[in-house]
Amino acid sequence: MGEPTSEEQPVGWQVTGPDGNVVASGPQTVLEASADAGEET
Amino acid sequence: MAAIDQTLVSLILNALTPTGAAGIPGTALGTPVGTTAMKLRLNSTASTATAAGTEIANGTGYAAGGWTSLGASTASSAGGAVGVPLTTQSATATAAWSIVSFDLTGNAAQRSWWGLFNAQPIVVGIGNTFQVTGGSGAAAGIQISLT
Repeated sequence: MGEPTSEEQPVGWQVTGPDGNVVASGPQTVLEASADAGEET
Repeated sequence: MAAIDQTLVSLILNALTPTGAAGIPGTALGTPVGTTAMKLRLNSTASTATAAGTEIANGTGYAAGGWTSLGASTASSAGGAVGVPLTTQSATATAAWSIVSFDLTGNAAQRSWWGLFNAQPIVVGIGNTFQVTGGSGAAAGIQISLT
């Protein structure tokens, strides 16, 4: 039997108000540049 | 979507293929993003593989060119990603910001990596603070890989 999985992603950025409370936040930005040369078909 | 500046793509290719004199490896890679601390630039429009977006206005903790004290990221090993920044970066808006993209650049604005922030545009009202999460490796707010 497996453990419950978490869908929670790490926080990548957030906006806070002057009082320090979080106004908005978003997940990490993941850049995956591709060096794939592709294939001729 | 590509996430690397096209000039750098050519530099990488030319450095690892026999593009130099008499078939030696090319020397084009050199130090294309300089030898001093890199910067993280924030933009109000989308960057592309050919050009950076329009930089946001200065604020408290953010000056033209980008954040400068990113810290030393944990180096990639075995082809793994690099997390940026090591140190959390913060800036407070003195004029409203709409943040869309970023560029990781050399100290003299040489572009390397670029991307759109997740959930952009990010609206930051005057007096509010925007921050990019710092951390070691996978904990950092921006993860960069080349596959």
